[in-house]
Amino acid sequence: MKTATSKRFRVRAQGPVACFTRPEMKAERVSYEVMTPSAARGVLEAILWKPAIRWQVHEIAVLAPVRWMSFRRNEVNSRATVGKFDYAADEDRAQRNTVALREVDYVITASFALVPGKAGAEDNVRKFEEMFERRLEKGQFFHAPYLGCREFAARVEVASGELSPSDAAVERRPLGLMFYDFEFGDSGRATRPLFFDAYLDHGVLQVPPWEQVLERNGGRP
Amino acid sequence: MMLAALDAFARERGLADDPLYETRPVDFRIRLGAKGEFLGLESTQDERGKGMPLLIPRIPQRRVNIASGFLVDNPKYVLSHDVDEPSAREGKAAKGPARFAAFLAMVQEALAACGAPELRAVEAFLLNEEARAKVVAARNPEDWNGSELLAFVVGDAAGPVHQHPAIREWWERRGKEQSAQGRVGLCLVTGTSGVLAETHFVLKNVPNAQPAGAALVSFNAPAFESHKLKQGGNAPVSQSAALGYVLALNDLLRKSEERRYRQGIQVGEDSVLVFWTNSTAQEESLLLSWMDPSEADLRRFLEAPFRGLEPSELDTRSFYSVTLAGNSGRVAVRDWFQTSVGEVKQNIRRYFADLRLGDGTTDKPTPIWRLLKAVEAPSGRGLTPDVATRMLGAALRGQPFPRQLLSAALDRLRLPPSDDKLEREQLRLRVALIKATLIRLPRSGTASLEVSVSLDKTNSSQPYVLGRLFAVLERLQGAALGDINATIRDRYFGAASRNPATVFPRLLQLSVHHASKAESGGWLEKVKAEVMALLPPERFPRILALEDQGLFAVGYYHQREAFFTKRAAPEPAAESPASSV
Repeated sequence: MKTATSKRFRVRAQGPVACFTRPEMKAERVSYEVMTPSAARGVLEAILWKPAIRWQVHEIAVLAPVRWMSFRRNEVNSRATVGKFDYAADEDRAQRNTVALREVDYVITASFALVPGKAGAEDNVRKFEEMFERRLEKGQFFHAPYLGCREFAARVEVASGELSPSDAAVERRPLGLMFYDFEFGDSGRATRPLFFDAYLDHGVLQVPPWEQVLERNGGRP
Repeated sequence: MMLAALDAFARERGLADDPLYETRPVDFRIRLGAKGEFLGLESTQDERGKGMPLLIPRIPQRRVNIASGFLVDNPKYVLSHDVDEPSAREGKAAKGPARFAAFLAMVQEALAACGAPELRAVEAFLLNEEARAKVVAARNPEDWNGSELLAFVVGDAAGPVHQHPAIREWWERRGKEQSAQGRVGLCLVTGTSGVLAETHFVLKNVPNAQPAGAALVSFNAPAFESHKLKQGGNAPVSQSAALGYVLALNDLLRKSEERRYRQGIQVGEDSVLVFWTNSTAQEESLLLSWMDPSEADLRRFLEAPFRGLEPSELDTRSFYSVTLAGNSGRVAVRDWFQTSVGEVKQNIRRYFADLRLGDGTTDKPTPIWRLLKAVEAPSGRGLTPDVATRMLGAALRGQPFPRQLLSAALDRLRLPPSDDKLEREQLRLRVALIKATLIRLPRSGTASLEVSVSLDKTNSSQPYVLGRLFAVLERLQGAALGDINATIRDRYFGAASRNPATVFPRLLQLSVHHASKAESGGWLEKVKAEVMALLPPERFPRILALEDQGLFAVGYYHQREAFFTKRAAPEPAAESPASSV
């Protein structure tokens, strides 16, 4: 294996509704203004994911202006439990409000890297690159790609060359601290959320690499 | 961003200066002798029954748990006296003793650490059940409501025990030690490292929330948590930021002398919009008086309309607004945005300009609740809260109004008026809302709708002219028949505005009879001919779309008002084409 990271892919994801929930307003969902890196990773993993690769999102371009909508839904208080089928949702209802985004349109720029230890001798970057391209073009996916919440399906396609962000004229717009991703606790450690300072640079969210975010979040507690 | 802005606001206005103390109205002082004997219960309540504000050790967050204040708390904790306890359900363990024990434990902990004689006196008093009964007996049993705050005074000291220097020192030391025990991590509000809050304080005074308060950031069911994270671990917020944003919101939501919310506007039944700026408090109160004028404000506006919305050097400062709705134990955010003060001022101006209708008399702002009230369904269930939220949000952002407003207003116009007295004002408000909605329609593709403030005789848009024609026909009927039970407006307004072709030919036929009968028939016939001349010669349209129905209503209103003004002044009201807004 010579190159451990792939080339950069540009994937366009659009949808009528999206909710990239802020962790502090998770019970009564309020979305971030812009897609989070972990949501972008989710879209890519819906198309191709293998234990041998890890996606890294570099940029998220915001093509449509930010528009909001809000609605209430009946949901439940409990989590799904494996093997428990006699569950009556009517007796466990929670009415929750959602402040979501509407008519979103993003271009995700991302690449993947081979995970040392997980990638076998027969794995190489080119193989997965071709696999991803083929699947994206054919519209294949492992599960339907979605925008933040499973129920907000995304339309995903290869991003064509000339697409310009909606507020390309604004040089730098701060978005505050944004959720980056979970550091999934390997080897028994607890999972913890990571955050980064987000800003739109000419309408493009620049996503820092893992190492930088880990450092920002104080390494391991 | 929202919590960060609120936290910054709290810091700027000095609301979160002290996490260990808070100022609360204390209702009674229990005066003790040096050995803890009960000397008297001193009321600090003024004639309106409000206690004297006093700096006290912050009372912890309580829901169903037992958590005692330090040296100051309510009779349930201080005296083990609970008004409601006897009626508590059978089989449920009484909380009274546990509460009292918690209070006593705190005093004993402090006594062991600093040994102040005042604390010894308090302890002695607390251990003496008879003395406590005496305090309860010092007041009429019905007067206790269980929420009075009680503080202690020992001997003939002027200050309460909790303000004694040695005791304060212990309280502060303990506070530091306790917070040091918490988990340290990156705070998602401030971006700096700090001691993280497990649970957050509650907001008070949010409509539809629990009276005891509800939390904005909460994870009170397993479905809200993820990845085995518990409570605050789902959204790491430092204790100081968690306190800051809550204090800021509670300050904005507080009840004030003349308002239900110090800096909030009730939106619909179940929401409240609060706003703040990083400008000055004066600027904020000015904006509030525009967005939601009180009666006193309205009187003032009569003299000097639009003063105060002039540009100033503070216009570049930030303006934040959030709409909150209670959902029993939790608070939901319905809407949130951030812009500049200048932008908001401009949008408020435009909002009132868009609503302006008729001549001159209405340069003062109409409170939003009154507007929304005018288009509510008579069943009293109100508009859906969402519509009200979106309408207010759109007004402040300068965006189009929700289309539901248009249909709600038109629905109200279709029904015969229920109350003659309010009728004219209600009609004005409804049509004003229709006009503002029409003006703000996104102008893509379709012909832009020009809607003027008062009668525009040059406007030849078909729905508008049809509306005018309808007003003339109604007038003709009125002139001919006088007061009758059901006018053509009561019977045909809805049909005429939706399906002109089915109604107008018949109405025109009728009007010939009316004209011959009415005294002023000749003149009205002339007006009718004048209006008819603006219509294309072919047939009436079969169907009018929602926007066109709105224009119909505006035309009707303009023509009707023109009749009223004509009666007052001989000069025709709108000789020159009125400026279109």
